[in-house]
Amino acid sequence: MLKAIFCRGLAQPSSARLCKKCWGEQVLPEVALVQSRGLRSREGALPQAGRRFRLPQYTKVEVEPVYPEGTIHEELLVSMKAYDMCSVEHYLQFLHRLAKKWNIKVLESYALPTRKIDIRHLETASRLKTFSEATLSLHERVLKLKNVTSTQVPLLLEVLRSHQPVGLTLAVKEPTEDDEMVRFKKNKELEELLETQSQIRR
Amino acid sequence: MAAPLVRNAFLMSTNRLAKPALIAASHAHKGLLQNAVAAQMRCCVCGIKTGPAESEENSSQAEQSPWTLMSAVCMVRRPLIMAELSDVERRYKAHLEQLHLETSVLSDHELQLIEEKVKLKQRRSRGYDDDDEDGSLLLAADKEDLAADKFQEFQPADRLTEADMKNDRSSQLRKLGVPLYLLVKQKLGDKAVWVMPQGSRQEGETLRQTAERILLTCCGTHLRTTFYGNAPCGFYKYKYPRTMRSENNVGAKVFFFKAELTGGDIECDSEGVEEFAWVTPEEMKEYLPQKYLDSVLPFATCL
Repeated sequence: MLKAIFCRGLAQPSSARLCKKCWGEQVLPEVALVQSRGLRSREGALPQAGRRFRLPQYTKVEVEPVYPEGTIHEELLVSMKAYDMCSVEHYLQFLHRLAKKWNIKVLESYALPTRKIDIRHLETASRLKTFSEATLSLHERVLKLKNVTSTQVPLLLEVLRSHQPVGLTLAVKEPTEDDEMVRFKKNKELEELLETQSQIRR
Repeated sequence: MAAPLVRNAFLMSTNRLAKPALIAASHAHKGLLQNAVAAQMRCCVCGIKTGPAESEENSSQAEQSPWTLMSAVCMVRRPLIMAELSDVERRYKAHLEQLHLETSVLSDHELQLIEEKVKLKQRRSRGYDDDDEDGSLLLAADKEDLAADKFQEFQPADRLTEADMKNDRSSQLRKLGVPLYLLVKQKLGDKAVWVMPQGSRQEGETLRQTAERILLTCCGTHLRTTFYGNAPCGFYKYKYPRTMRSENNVGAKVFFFKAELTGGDIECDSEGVEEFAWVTPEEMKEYLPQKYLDSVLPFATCL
């Protein structure tokens, strides 16, 4: 864990002033300023300034954040379903912007195919014949977030629940393989081949 | 739990709640890293053991803090219906509806209506000679009438429930458009006080596990909840009255955990819990003392 020092722009290293990005702490987001070799002279300073004439030079380094075990969710899947496309799309955008604001990385943001739900009623005089009352389309949008800390999760959930639109179902969970496979279409030929293969083996 | 751990590991103040990154940093064992004691520390917030591996000598070094650690549950009943629109929202909604109506294009149904009107006029002028040559089974006007009848049959429920009329504070179905918080009249010491359900932490428990256990004991097993996370949302510290104070027992530090109600009712056990109420943040003033209210209001607000 690299120790971040302070932002560019400050004339003097001071323990009272902390870098806005990292607040001078050891467990950090991705960028740290590290003292590199070499010294540069402060703008407009004369050699008579002495110690303050030359200042250490800093470079930005990409740091992999290190979190204590159990305090972070590496991937978090948020899925929202509604019959109203407008509200789902706007909610997805809201969540995406919120993640951007809170510096949570968004891995993926995708839509699952719309499911058409046909509501059928039995015709009054018959027991079997139905007529279609209405066709509803269920829209689903999914957002995958990366490295959400366990302190951000309750706040995120609170904001999401408070601003959840009417008629929208929200699900927040850790992604499994099933969530990945839902996105793919069934390959009938492949399945048939696998079946024949397993039959041959028997 | 060593006192330095509790003091540094969770630094709360109202403005810090707005920046999750800061809280993350403060929780992430900052205090532990800075204190660098050779003993193995166990974070009471998330239950993680940090520091060098356990050794017999170190475990005996654990100091006893004079503060009892307690965790409380802030139970929310999320709104069941849409909140009431404010004046601006209502006017804007009406304006938008009018705008959409005026800028929209006629739908198939409306076009059919217009065509049929024209046809009927023509038929009347000719004088009823043809008998429904290409007449559809159902005219568009008839479809509209059927739809209107069906709409009449549907009666939406009232926004104000029975509990609103009676002002029954112990009912969950009170103010449906607003989030409600649970307050409980609990016996702390010898007095019964209105608080959020709280209880002290036992050995080997994380604070969240304490919160879940307290909810079961105070509110019964029928209540179904979802805890929002492992991290607390608020903090309150109080000292016991002078008669109860001692060297090892100065007071209590309460950490609040947020949980959402997903179903079920509260079963009021007489064990410490006499009454309960579901209240809005404005109504909380009537129940809670000022200092407690000041620590609770930052997280018990309607966003």
